[in-house]
Amino acid sequence: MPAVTSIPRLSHSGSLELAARRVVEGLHAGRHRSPYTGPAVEFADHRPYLAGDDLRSVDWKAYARTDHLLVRRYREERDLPLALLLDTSASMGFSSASALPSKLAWAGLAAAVLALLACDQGDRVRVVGGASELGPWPRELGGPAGATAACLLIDSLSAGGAGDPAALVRAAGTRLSRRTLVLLLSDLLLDPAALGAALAPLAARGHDLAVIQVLDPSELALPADWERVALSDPEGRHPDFTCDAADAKAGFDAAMARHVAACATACAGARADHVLADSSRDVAEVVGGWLHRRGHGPGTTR
Amino acid sequence: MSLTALAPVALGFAALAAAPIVVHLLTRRKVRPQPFPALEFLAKCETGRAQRRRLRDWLVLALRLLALLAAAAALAGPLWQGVLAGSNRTPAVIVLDASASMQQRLAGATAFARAKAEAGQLLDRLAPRPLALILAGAAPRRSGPEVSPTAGPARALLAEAEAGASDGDPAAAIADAARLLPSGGDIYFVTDGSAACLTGVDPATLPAGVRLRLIDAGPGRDPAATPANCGITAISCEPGVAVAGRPLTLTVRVFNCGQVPRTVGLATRVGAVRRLHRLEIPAAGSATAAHTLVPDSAGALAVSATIDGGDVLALDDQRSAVVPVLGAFTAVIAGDGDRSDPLRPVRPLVAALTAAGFQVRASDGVGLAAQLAQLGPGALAVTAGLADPAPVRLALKRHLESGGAWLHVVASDADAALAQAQAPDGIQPPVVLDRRIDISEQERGAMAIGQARLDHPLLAPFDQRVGLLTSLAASRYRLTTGSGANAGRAQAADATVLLAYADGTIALVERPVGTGRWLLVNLSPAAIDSNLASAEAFPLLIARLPAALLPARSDRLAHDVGNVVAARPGLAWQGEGDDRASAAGTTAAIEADGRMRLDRPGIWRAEGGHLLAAAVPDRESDLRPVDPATLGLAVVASSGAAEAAGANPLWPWLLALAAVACAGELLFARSLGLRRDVSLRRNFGLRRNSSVQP
Repeated sequence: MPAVTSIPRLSHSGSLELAARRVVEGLHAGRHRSPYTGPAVEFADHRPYLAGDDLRSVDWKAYARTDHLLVRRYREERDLPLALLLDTSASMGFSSASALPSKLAWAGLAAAVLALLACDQGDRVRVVGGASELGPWPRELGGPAGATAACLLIDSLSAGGAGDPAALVRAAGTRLSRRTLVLLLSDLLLDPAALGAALAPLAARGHDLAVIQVLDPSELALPADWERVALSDPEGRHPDFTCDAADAKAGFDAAMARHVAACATACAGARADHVLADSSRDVAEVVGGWLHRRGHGPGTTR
Repeated sequence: MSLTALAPVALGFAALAAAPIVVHLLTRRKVRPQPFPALEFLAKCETGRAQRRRLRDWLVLALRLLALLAAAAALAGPLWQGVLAGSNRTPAVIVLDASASMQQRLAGATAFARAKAEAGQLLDRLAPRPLALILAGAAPRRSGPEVSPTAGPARALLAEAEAGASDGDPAAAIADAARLLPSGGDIYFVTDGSAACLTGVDPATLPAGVRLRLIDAGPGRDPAATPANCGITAISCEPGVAVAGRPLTLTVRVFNCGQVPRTVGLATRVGAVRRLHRLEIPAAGSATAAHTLVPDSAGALAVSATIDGGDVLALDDQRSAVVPVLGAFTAVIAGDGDRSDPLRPVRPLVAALTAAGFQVRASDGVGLAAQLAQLGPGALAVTAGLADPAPVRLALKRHLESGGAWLHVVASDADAALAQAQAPDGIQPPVVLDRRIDISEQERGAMAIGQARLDHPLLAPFDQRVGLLTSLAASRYRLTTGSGANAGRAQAADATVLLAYADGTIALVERPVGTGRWLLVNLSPAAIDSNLASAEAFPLLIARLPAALLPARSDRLAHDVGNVVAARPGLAWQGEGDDRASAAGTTAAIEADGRMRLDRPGIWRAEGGHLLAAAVPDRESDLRPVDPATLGLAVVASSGAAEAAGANPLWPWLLALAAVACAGELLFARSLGLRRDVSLRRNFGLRRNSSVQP
């Protein structure tokens, strides 16, 4: 896992922020729209005056127009609860070359970047790692100290075990009580339908969902110069398979392209962002691009 | 059903089949272990393809193995004889060489014994097929007039077969065998493979559907294995009919068919005089020795030659001949029937014959036959201007066949008719005289004679005097030219034109007939007026007649072994009813009809004193092997009798199978081109950069 000091700066850091596309339910005041009304600047609506209301909240101009006592209500802005779900299955520890980071390393780096960004803009972050089951539910972290703690937590994660990102998502959904930006970092080597089924309840409960599918370059395009290889599944779910890479390349590349497309479709069904990340690419570029698209996309809430 | 192989040793080549396996193992690419999380997607799409590729790999390996094994098996020459082969009803004829050369001894047994054993095995194998056996000796013998459905007659003939001492005629025997196979079949010629046995054998002359195969029972075709043999291949006497008081020279030629020079002791005997010679004979060459004697009286002179034995064919170590000795040359001239002066048309010829030393006897057509019978082949028969040739035709035919000479002067239409009249009796005239033109009705004038064959003994006196011969002229003569381009002057194939007139008309032509010679002189009808007869050249021609017409006749002075000799009137043993004659301490049987079969070489003396010589043919001494391939003969080795016996050869099918396997291997290997490319790169270190492309 990358050290905290090696976390790159986002190339769009000057204008980028982690924005919520849906209203979120932070506990603290923040910069994101929340379903709550309260002391705020943004006008929300009127409601009839009730006994006990502060007279300062009465909209007298409205009273003059409607002859009814109406009280102004303002939309309260809260912080953005961010849940970073890191798939730590054995497959995430794969790297096809020594010069390349493993998928988990790349995902951790991305998670660290996002955690730093969130903490930097006053949001709170919860880092959840697991293969198919959640461990102890971590507390939310915020502020500079929280950012450091999040990075250390990310750094402590290691790959192992059989992964089930869908189960991870389902388990996290049962633990999230407030609307949260849930970001899953996984290679999504699972049935896309299961992923869609796992994301759908979270979407229904109003969670803002995003999935970063981290794949090794060799998983996106099988290297033909591997020649004859005996392939083994790190998670042990499939028997070893010997093939000629040059022969298998075309079929595999097409199959993987179909799988990625299916994952994207499943994510779209749950109104979740889907980002395909090549682990050979720069984290800042990928994450920054995603944040940029997210910040300027439709439905962004601030 | 049985499976045999002509060369089982070749099955060792099957070990080559291990080569593709070794190559496969050596070039087998090592599998590199590689963890890969996305294995699921690879396995889904690759499982079927990998199975197909693995199957194709095994198929290619199997095809390579199959090609090599099939080729090795084909080299072994496998033969299959099964139920179907047993039903093969193709007739077959076995021709067993029984000539003298088959008496050569090889490793303790004669070649004939080996050939007989081969033929016996062949009969066993061929038994289901219609069969016949022919012994190719001096007198070919067949097991029956037709191929027999059983092998019994062939076995019976084979059981009593013996090698002869005569010259076989394999070509005739094979032709005879082909006649027994009108609808096709197989001829198996069992012989020793020597030049003596294969001379004249030509498979191309066989009818369609008849296949000829050679079974070599001899020492093989390796030149180094040529058996050592020296044989007397010719004895010749000069002249062939001796004259008392004139020298007689016996020349003996000894042939060495071995591969090393030999020194051979030779003993010659002429009459009672015996001489010893030592001959240095080069390898595959011959040497000659001469023995000259002047006989002092007429009669018959026995001559013989003997060499030291010790070679593989002892049959040719001795050769004999009987030379008739005349008191003088005699010429019997038959004229044109003019009783007052029968010699008038050929009077210049008589003068020339007399000058040449002939005793000239005048005769007519009737008397000629009697005189020739009395004088024998030593007499020269001269005919000219016979009005009725009929009485002399048979006498002249016998005279020629027994070795006599006939000088025929065409001086009239009857002479031309006599020349042509010989043809129906089986003697082809040297010239066909069909269209005749009397040039006397045309312009008279001298015509030069050209196209002389100066290499002939008759023209030897002109060898250095060409001008004399070419200036020879005839003022009148009958032409035999046709209206076309010499259309009427067809001549016998073996006739030799010695002289021709300037326009191409034949003037002097010679043709051998039997052991005799027929010389035809085409003269003017008024030969007495011809300047040809009176020219200087004519006596020169006549003077050479004794040498030319009675030349050295080597073995013609002896009968061939195997010949049947008819008893001649006047011989004591025939007239007295004696059925035995003695020769070298043995006796020969005389048939009831007075004929005697000469089955052994040597000099035979009848009780009446008559001498008879029998000799083995000279070419039987040549035991040098001949490559049957040069004759277009398919050879079946001794060990390959199974194939000859009708077993089905499997090697063509195996070769075809190997070819199909090779083609299949190429086809599948081409479809594996990418993999081969990768293998090459791996084997030659041309690996790509293994870094993963981003």
